Amino acid sequence: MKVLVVDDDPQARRVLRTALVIQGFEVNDARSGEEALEKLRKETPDTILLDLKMPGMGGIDACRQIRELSEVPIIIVSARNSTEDRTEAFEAGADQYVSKPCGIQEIVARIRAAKRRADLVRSPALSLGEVEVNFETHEVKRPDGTMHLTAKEFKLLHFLASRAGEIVSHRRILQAVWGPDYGDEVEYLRVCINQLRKKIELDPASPVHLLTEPSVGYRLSLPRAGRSARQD
Amino acid sequence: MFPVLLSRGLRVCLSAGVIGLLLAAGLYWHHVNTTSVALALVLLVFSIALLWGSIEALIAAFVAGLGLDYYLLPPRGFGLGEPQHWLSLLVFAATALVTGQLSARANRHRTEAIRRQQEIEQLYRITDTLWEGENAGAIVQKLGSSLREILGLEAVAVFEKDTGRVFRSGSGGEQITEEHLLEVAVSGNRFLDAGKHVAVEPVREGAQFWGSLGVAGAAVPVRLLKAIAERVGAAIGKAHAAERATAEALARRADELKAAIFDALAHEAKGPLASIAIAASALLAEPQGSAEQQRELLAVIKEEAQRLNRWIDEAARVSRTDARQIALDKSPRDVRDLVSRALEGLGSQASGRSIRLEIAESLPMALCDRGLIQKVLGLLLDNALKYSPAGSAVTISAHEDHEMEMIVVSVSDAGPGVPDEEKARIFERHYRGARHRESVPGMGVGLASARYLVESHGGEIWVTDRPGGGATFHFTLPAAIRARV
Repeated sequence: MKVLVVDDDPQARRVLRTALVIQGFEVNDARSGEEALEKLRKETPDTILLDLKMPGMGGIDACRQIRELSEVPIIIVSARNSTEDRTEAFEAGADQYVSKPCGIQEIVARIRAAKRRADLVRSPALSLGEVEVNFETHEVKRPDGTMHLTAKEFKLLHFLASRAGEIVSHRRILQAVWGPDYGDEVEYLRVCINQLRKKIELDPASPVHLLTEPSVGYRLSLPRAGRSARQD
Repeated sequence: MFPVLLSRGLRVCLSAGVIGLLLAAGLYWHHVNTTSVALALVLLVFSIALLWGSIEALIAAFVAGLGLDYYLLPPRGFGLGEPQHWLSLLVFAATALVTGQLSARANRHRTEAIRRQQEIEQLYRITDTLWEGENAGAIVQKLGSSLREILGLEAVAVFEKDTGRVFRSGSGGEQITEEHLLEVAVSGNRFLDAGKHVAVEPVREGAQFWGSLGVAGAAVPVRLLKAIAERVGAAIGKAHAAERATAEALARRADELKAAIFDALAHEAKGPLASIAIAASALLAEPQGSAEQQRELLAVIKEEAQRLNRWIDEAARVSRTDARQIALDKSPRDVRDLVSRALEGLGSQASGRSIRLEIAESLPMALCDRGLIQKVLGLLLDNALKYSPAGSAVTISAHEDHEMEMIVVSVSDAGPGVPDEEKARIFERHYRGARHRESVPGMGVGLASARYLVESHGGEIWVTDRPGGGATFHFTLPAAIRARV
């Protein structure tokens, strides 16, 4: 599994490279956002570890530009830990946020989680307990019959599945599904979420997969093997 | 006017002639009676008093009274035994006296008003230039030339109590002795030597005594001198207030800087700490890796612990420094030496980069604190290396600004440059360029600190666009050979 480490601090690159190689990853590194974008054009890694404070374009800009090129999972590894920093990073398209200092186990766990989600989205079907969504035919198979997802509903579900388990802000969803000019039109989102719940939830009035995070956004909760969806 | 044109003898002759004419008219011209002549004589005495004053009027009144008595009042000849004769003489004398006094008083008032107006005009012309908030030396230079020109003085001196210095302007100033200046400044009492035309006036602003002002070579009205001294006091007071404000602003900035350095230190320490945490956790985790990989992780821990130690030393040094009294150890320094030391301080960061030096051979020494200016240079070089592409050159140049007697040091890079709207603000504490807001550690603190250090030396720091793209940071330092220490 290939990881691209982007950090301007040579010691940080050195230690991450050594520690990740020991953990069985294939590691490449870049000392700036510009260099990372250049490397990304030649070869796509499975995950990017990105620092926020870098000379040149900086981490947030780099994150935004990488997102325009690719859906590769981006994990921010930063010493900054404020809510504003995190919000800005997620809005720029980051998938995970790890604050320094941290152990290598946490970073490895985040890389693996990001990889699992990416694989999930790439797989042709999504299993939500008794409900099965086919990403190729846009069909939803339920115990009470089969339904079809509209283009918007499919895009929304696909986007939330790529960030399964994570709280995704209204703005981030609107920009990813409706387009970069959107962000404040929470009503559109609410209507679409309700439509989607009618199709993928057995009881749309009390959803167990497509969860509302009050005044922040939504989260797609996936059932794990051997555990019920509600316990997730 | 008559008072200036005619001598007293001529005035008396003229008056006597007119009195004679009036009496002759009363005697020989039958249309004119005695009353008309008496009234005409009173009018004459009145006019003389107005024009020439009391003495001329009294003489005229006496002559007119006697003439009237002798020629026109019956019986012919001097009839001084008669009360009416005495009465007419008294009326004439009283008219002369009262009118003369009134006229003299009016004249005095008019002369006084003219003199005051002239004094005010002179004062205005003299002190018009004194409101620039300058020090006593500059005030004396300005005051000296205008006083010599307007009042015809030879020498002017100002003693400043705070500094104990005497500033002089003009020649022949030895008449204004330092003893007199000091004595007046301390006692607050004026010193006057009318014979030698020397006057020393205390200089004060309200209850605050700033020193004394001495003038020599011409008589200056006391009131005018006092007014000039008051203006000088206000000007010196203003200069002191401006100095105090500058010192306070510098102290405030120093406090802010100290806080900012602490913020930055606390933040920057996280870098080495994070590397240590990852290395240590990797050593403890499974799988353990090869012996070589483990050595690499241990080496990171060791090096990062050293880096952390340097940060802590720096933080301790900052905490020990009273920011208000960052003592400058100023001495003449070779700019080339400062640059090479700063480059050494950058260590591996500069390795593999092309650094060009353009320093004039004839460049004078810079008067500065070596350690602090090395920091400024190190910071600007660090920025230039960070922001410019790996293959590009960084240029350090230095030249002398002969007019300003300053040395200008510039560091140019081929990076993205600084947008116009950010050029002034990047030297403010906590400010980072919009483009780099998330990217560069401690940059805002760095440039604010550079500005503080340069300004503490009496220099300036600014940024311009580099021709062909990139930024050039400039700062100035006083040139040592001509600097007044």
